Amino acid sequence: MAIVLKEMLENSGFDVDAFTNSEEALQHFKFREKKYSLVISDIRMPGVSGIQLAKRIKSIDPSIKIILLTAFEINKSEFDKVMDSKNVDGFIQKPVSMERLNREVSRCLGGSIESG
Amino acid sequence: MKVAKLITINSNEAPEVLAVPEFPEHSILIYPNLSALRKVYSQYAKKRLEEGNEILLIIPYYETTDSVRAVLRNVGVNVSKYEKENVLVIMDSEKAYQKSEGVYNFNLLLNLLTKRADALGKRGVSIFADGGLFFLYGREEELVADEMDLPTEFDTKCRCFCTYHSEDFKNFSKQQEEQLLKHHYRCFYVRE
Repeated sequence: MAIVLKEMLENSGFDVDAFTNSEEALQHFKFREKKYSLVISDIRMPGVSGIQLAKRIKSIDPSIKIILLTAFEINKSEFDKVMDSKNVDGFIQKPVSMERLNREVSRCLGGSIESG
Repeated sequence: MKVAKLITINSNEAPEVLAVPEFPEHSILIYPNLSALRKVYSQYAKKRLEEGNEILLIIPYYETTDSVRAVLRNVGVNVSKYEKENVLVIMDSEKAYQKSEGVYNFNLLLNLLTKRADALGKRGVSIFADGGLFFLYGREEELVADEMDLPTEFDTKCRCFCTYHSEDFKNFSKQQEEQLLKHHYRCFYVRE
């Protein structure tokens, strides 16, 4: 999934790094946070979940935009207990279409980056 | 993980190993990745459902219920037939671990299924239930408490495998880990 999204975004002109392990992604981010504008993460991930990853990334750099992906229904009351929704800039329901992904990414980045 | 009680098994041999002894039991199964877990539950489902002596309940976390259906179909399980007969039930963990009047939907469903197994003269209900959801919402303590509330051996014909991704299992404290491994009837680590 990460590789597919990477290719979709690269085809739209974005520079993307992809990880299939959230801990590795976090470690990578810690040392290169200035390089990134946006983090897209699945919610259900083993070890460090998407919610935990988003919180840790925001604690390192609050200006980073976060989009969470999920194929599942979200229990809003449970979600709100563990994550301030202000810390999430977008949600995308799987399966992800290229159009939806580009739209959401552009919106999060202030619409200043034209895809394609 | 250095705990004497933990048994390492290969995912290919898991369906046979898990099926012995007969019901009841409350055991734990730690898997390294989704592919290993899929091998275990799909092979187990194929064998047990074809024999026709069990009801099977699967509660996934790292894949959708439709993905579980696709995995089962890939190994030749007639998913629609078994679901129609209510001998195969697949429920997402978000729904399964929602509470109605203080009781998890999972418990209500299990109660119904064990009664149905009795009525149909089956050996019992086997369950693969993933605990991943509790980590998502920071409910590890509740999870441990719930696990400890469940008996090591059920007084109903129920064989429950609490499944944990190994990366999630590492989120437990050493004390919680010990507690869980001691409490379960059998503890497996699945290798691919």
